[in-house]
Amino acid sequence: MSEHLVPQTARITDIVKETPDVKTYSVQFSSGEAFSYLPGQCAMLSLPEVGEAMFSISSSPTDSPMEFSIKEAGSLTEKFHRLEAGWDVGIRGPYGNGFPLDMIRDKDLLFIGGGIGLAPLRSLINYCLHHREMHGDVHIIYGARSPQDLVFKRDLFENWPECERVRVDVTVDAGDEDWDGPVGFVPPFLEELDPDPKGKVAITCGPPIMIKFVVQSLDKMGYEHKDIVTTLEKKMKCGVGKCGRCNLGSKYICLDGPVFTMDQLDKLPEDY
Amino acid sequence: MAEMQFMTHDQIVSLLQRFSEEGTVYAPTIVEDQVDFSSRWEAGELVQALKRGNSTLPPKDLFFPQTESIFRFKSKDRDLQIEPADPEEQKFLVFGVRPCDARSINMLDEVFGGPDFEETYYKRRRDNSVLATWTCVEPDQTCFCASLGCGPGEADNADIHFTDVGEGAVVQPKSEKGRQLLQDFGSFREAEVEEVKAAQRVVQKAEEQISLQAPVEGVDDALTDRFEDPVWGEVSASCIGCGICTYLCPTCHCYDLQSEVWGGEGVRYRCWDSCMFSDFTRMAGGENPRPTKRERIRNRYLHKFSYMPDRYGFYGCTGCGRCLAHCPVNIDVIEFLSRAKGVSPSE
Repeated sequence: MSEHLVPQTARITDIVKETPDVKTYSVQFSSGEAFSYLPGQCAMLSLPEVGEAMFSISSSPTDSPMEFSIKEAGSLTEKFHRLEAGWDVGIRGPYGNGFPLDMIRDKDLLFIGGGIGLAPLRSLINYCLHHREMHGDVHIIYGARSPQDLVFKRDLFENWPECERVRVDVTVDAGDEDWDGPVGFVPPFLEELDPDPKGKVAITCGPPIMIKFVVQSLDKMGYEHKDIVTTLEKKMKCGVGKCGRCNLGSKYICLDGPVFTMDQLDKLPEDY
Repeated sequence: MAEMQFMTHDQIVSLLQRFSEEGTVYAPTIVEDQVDFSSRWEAGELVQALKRGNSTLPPKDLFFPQTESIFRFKSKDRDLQIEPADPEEQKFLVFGVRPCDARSINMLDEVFGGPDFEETYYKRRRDNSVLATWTCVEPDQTCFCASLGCGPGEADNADIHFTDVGEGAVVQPKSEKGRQLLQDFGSFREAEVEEVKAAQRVVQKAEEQISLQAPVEGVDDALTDRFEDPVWGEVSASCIGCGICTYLCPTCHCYDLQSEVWGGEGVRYRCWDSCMFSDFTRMAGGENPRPTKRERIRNRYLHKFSYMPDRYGFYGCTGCGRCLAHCPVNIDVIEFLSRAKGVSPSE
């Protein structure tokens, strides 16, 4: 039992501009001791004079420092985007269940990400690549609105493709003069690539509308809902299932989620 | 100590006065013709206030305040300092709580405690408090507690229970805290058999006065798979989103965290929030899973009658009738429950 709504302070040690509206922040806890976490878990970040919001942790627990990739969307994230390295922020967590590490053990993994939705997936991808012997082939399919909106370009085009038994396919909704890769939305791109469902778990995160169509595509391709994993987001305030915002039926995304299998989501009201 | 004691009204007042020397007493107080729990209760008006119907606001704010400081912060240039607010350690007695409201506190114990995560803020206040209930002698016309397994004389989770029998009250300590309260602060004697019988008659008479019934039995099952039912559009049509139902509800517990800022420093505080408000679930960027009153009322009713039974094993309603009595457009929870069950294929 602790004063759970009180954050610790952490210092931003590095900021990487991923896209025009996404930056990745490395943080170091002022106490010197970061909380431990699992891939897919989240944390509350705050600038107390502006507010606080839940963000997925985009680094793997096997890596240091802890990282968050933040898209400018509202007043808090706008302020975050004006910060520089050396500034303090508030942090509390970790929250949520994280990805089902037991379930994906020894499986081939298909990651399907859209936009900033790659952030939680990146935590798990890097975790799996760290424990390479614990998983089979890794196939990463990712899309963004335009080439300049692709996040984690170094991972997508350098780090991940260099790893053993890893395939990365990237598409954009609309290309530009420098883009010579695939063009098109993620769901049809996925269907075109048609990865075999056998022995595979699909893990997807992106805008809600993308997730919806990705699941339809996976259905067509023969994936069972127990083998489709997604991670959800809703507005949150407490992080521990009390404040009442993020429920899906009787489940709280902050506590029972944010990671669910489609099998589990099929039994819950579509309140997201 | 025998189970049933008797205290005169004067002895009750002096018990509260004696406790006041060590802690705070919150008791029903008439303020502008409305009864509310207050630490500024009047000894001379206590009995009169207790004879009135239930308080307008439930006493939940004594455990889960409308606003409470969580931490102070100071940002100077790049540095941020955070200091937790001082915990409230004040002992207090809540006197004259109606059994329905005591039951709601029992529910909040599960919500803020429970197996998943125990909140310090709430628990500390519960641990520091004594809950003294009072038989509801004059139930209001909007009371339907009996339908929810509650009753005007039932107070399972009270520390001590009082039933007014005219010249005084029959007193039943129900927990160690209640026994201690009597021992430390009370003057009392063992209740006579006739007084105990009189108390039983008072409870019985009060029970008979509760004529309103809510068809809650099995409504959680009846609401299964009704997420897209037309009933939500219908029951929410007249809602103006004022939030009074959530404000007065003894089991509503949604909250927000906000900051008060002056210069580079401020206070982060927690305050009540309402699922009836449009920005309750609206995310940065504008996306909102509950964009209209249809989705918001749906969530409120399902939360009370489907989600809470599923998560905690009880309906999130005590039948106190406050939402019924105070909704400015007469949205009627009983009518909703009847409709929900009436169109149920399971019936």
